[in-house]
Amino acid sequence: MRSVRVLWLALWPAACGGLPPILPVPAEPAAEAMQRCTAVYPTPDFRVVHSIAATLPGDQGGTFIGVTATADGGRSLRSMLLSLEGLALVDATWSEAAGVAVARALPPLDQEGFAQGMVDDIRLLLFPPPGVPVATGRYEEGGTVCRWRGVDDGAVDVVVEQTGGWRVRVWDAAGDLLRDVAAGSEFRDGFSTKLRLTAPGAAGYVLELELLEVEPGPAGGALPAPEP
Amino acid sequence: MSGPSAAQRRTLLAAVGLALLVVPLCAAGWGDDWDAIREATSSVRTVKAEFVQEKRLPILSRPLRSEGAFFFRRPGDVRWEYRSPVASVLLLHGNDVRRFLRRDGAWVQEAGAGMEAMRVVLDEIALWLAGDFESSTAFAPTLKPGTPTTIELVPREDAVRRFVTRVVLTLGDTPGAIASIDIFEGEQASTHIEFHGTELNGELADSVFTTVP
Repeated sequence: MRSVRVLWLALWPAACGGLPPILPVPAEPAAEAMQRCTAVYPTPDFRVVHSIAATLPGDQGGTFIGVTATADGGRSLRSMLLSLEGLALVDATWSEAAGVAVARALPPLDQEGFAQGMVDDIRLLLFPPPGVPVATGRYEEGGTVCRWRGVDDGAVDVVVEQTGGWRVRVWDAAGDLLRDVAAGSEFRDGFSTKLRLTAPGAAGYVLELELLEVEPGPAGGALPAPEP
Repeated sequence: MSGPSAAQRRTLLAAVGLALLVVPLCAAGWGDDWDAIREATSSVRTVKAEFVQEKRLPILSRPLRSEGAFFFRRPGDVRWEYRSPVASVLLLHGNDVRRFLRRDGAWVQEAGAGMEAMRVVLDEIALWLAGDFESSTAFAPTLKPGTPTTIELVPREDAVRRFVTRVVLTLGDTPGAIASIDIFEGEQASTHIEFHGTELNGELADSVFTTVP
């Protein structure tokens, strides 16, 4: 299995031209690298509140309050997007078993795919990629890198920079960058205090998150179900 | 799922916005009937009040607390200011509706469709300022005299009621002031806004409604 991973890693740069090469670090076992990469993520279960400043195409955007709670060790979550005045705009749940379900979505945030995209971004920001990395090492410019196999033969890199900050980059199979997350080096209660997610492209957007509050996860591991 | 139409969404935003804008409409001891409310509110020119807002959500064990200040000047100037946790100022002055946010130490004006929707608030203000709840096409009001007196507002349209089920205004002891507002979004989520330090008919300069901070 290990030889397959190494082969896949060696071939990847040729298949995905946009991905930076990962240089091996012989002195650092893969397990240690992975531990370093996943240490930047909070430990579920938790309840967390962020302010979210969204910049959208056409000089549009807005600022919202995002509230996310996890259960089952991060295998399910419920997330609510609020206006600054407190009105619940979106209420969505996700679980490994059932995927995304939308309990509430006010226009224009009720467009098809919005809640799915919201949950995908939340998982990218708050959870390490599932499974184990297919490669670990460092970029030429330094920092610990863990590369996971992404959706549809894409790739996800988690990079712990020497400054203490960290990044996540997601590519598709063609090597085009789909998401770029940059986090500072400041943490509070296990969470990065500032996160910036960039989705490039004509329909791209930028989300700037600032940590507001953190609570322990719900007792008993269950999330309250949305109202029918 | 099917959400409300654009018009209904504007009504929703108006519900939240107008719940705050109704601050100057209420005065203690006058809430026995609608005529008394209209009479009591007619003398209110300006309002300045601090508020604490608590948002209750099913996925949070404790409410999300916000603090801020509210300013109103007849006929339709409003400053709706949050100081924490996210510093923001919404200014309504004449036909001008703007929101500013504090980012990295500077105030930045925010663009977006939300500002357009907030204009709808202005369209509804006239009714509420007159204490004329009964003429509202968006909400059906019920006056509940007592200690304290409350006014319950229920959206007239089912599509809107799915998202904001009711708004309850609790009248305060100080004439021209309201003690609190509760906005219910179904059984699980609600917003409680408690006012304090309310000052009526003080001088409020134009700059309160045109500049930040």
